[in-house]
Amino acid sequence: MSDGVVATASTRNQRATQRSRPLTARVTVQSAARPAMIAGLGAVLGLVVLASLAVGAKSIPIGSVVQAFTDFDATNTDHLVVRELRLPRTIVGLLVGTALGLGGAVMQAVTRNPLADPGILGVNAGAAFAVVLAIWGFGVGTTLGLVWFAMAGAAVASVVVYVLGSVGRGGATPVRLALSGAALSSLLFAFTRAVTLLDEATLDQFRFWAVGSLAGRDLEVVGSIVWFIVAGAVLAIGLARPLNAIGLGDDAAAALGVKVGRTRAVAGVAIVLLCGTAVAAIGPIAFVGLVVPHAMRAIVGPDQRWLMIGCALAGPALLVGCDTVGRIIARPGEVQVGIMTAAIGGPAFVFLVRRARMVQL
Amino acid sequence: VTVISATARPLVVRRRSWSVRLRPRSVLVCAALAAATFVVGIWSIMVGDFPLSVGQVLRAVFGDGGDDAEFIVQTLRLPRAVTAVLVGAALGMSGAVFQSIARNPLGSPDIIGFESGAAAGAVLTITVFSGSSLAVAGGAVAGGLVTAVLVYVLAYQRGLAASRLVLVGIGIGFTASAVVDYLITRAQIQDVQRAAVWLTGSLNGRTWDHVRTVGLALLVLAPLIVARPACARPPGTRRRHRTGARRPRRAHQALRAAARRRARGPGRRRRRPDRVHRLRVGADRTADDLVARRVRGAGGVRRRVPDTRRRPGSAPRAGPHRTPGRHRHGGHRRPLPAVAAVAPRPDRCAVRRSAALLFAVGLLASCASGSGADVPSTTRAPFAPSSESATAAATRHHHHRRRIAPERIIPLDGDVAEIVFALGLGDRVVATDLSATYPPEADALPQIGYQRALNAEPILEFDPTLVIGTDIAGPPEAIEELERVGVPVVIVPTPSDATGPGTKIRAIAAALGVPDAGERLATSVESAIAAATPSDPSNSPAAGLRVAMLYLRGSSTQLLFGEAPRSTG
Repeated sequence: MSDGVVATASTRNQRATQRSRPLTARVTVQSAARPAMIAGLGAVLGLVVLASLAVGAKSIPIGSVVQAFTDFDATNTDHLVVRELRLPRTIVGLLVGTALGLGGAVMQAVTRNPLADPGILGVNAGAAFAVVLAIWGFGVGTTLGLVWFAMAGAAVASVVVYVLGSVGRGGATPVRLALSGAALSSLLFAFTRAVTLLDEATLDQFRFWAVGSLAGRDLEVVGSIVWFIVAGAVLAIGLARPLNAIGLGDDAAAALGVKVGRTRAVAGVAIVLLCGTAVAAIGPIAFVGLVVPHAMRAIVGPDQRWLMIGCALAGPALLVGCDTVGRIIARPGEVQVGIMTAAIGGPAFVFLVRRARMVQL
Repeated sequence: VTVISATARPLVVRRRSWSVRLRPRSVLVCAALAAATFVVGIWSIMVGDFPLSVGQVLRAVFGDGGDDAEFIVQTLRLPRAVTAVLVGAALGMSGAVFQSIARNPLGSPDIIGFESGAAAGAVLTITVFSGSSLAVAGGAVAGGLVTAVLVYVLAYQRGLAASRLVLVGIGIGFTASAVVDYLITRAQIQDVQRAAVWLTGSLNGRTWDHVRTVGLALLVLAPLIVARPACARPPGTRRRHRTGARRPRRAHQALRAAARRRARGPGRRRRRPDRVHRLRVGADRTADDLVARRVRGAGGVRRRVPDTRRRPGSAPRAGPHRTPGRHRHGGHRRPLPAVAAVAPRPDRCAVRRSAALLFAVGLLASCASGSGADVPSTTRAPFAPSSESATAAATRHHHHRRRIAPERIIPLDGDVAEIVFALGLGDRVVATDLSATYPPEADALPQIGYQRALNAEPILEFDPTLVIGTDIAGPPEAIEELERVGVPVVIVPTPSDATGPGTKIRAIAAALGVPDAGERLATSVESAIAAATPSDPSNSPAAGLRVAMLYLRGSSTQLLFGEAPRSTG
């Protein structure tokens, strides 16, 4: 070692010490601001839910909306619209938004790739192919019927991706998982396309499922998805600490006492539960899972514990908010929530990228 | 030309003003790939409904293979194969460039929105303007370009950072795909199908025009790509500098300052400042230890590589890609320790150049997609294909009978709307769906959505007293919701044979309380059908004709081979 190296090293140390003070200060400020941020997100979510109940294609005075809950009249069409149409879709939107936000956060953490979205494990492609098969081969037409097919497709696809990614030496590394997911997704989307090109009627039905919509979801759908999402959310939030460690690298995580392989497997289960259910319930919506965690990282910082909470609040706020706007933007028709999330979320995301210092890719 | 070194490692050929460095492995791989491409290309021309042998293919390519083979090869299969090769090259190169710039192995050009933009342009042309295939290709290129400009402008903020470029691209890309989705859900199914074929991508029906378009784009843009080592290499600022990419000025100045400081430092060999100056690889044409020239590299790939010649009296260079730190005192050249410390801020020039390149690639990709998949505009099929499944039809035949015609009617699909208007009740219709395009009055009414993707709330907005549709109307949840809220819903049967129209008309008329008008309309329609059906086929004037009924839909080129019957001359 020459003196040059020593000098460089000592300079680096000096620089590190100099920099450490402002760094700590920034972290302190951020951690003080975090609860306020979370509270703000919660307030936004509350407002969005109220708007979702009060606003829609049919104009209903706000008094009737309140009455529908306080003094329900089963013969009043306005009350029925609020209770039977708007309430279920708001609840489904809340559940699915939470699932997508958390699923995206887990996916980005476990692959250590900020460009990862839930679709990377093949979940969306598997669900889409299963739905096309259900429409084409089995003549399934109801949302509730499609839910089970989509769940099965998502689960099978992600298991296949995991097996493909973990055969051979080295086991299931994030990059191999991502690559095998991308490969299987391409294959399944090709099959999906083939079926929709063969059969016009299937294409006609599939094109609306593929966009993603909250319309026509009733409380029965809520009942069939709620437990999957709760289970997935519990797993995801429980994984926050080990995922923080994995963020330092596999070796560092192992040194800190985290079982890396097991954490990844559990994270995979959480992702399938969350994203598979979300896709099954309302169709493939990639945008929320990709962008919400990214945006939250810029707002609440990289700590997974806070990030998960932020995503669990911001995901539903984005989804329900976009659904509400979609209901009134093209009156008397509706614009599907999948279109609205990208149409509103896209520019908002660009704005955020320009404003905030984003995490480097 | 003199061969300087021919070890197992690179083979360096040097002349005064240029040099070539050939790595045997690269040469081998590129040659193998080129051979494989050639073989697969020939094979793709051989197989098909009209099989050809290798000899026939080769003869036909060079214009000496007989009329049939020449027609098939030169008009149909060769342009298709060549287009495939060129488009594949364009997409592969753009992917490689993108993954280098984004420094992310998951990157692909479509993630930053060029492809979504091109798709939005194409789908807009198909669904809104019903454009010809040429217009669709133009729409795709225009869409890709607009997206590229938008991404560039929005990502520019006191310079361009690669990460911001990618993130802005993702945002814009999602917005563009939202446009595609919106158009797809609002269009007629025939247009949707055409768009779906385009979005899938097909090489069917490619002609020499497509070859010319893509070939021209490649000819102009490909040299730009391979001439830029910053992007043709695995990334990393340090290596980029070593490989001859131009150093951004600020980093360079800082580097020089750092070198001056170090030169003054104690205990170090005094170094002249211009020693670092010479590190500006590729710009310094006098320093003979770091000469970089544009060279024609292996497999026709143009690269700019550093040509590290041994300095007199120094140790021989160990390998082309050692990390700088390892041979700090290797002698042939100083590593660039200061670069790592000084240059991490976004090196604007490099990024801007990379961005410009990226747009070139984007253009290439959209050219590729613009001519890679489009559909000849087809005339609309005059009949709607029967699409309902028998099981669904059997389960849902609620048949309400009403005496008095309701005041506010909403027909759920185009057929029903047409019948309601034909029954003279058009003035009571308050809204129609997307598929109701005839008569024009029905088209002009407010829309409730599309027959297969109805929503209850927009329908309820019109306070209908009767909602009437066929069993295509859906999704079932929306119909259930309407019934739950108490709106009368009538679903009429639609047998898919010659009795269908009469049955449908009578059922609708009964539901609307005008059975007599329905009977008259149904009778006239049925008599028109009967008049068109010949009673005895052998007496018909068409008895001697041989008829091929062709239902041509979609993009594929259909070929019919055969001879004219001799009897008819």
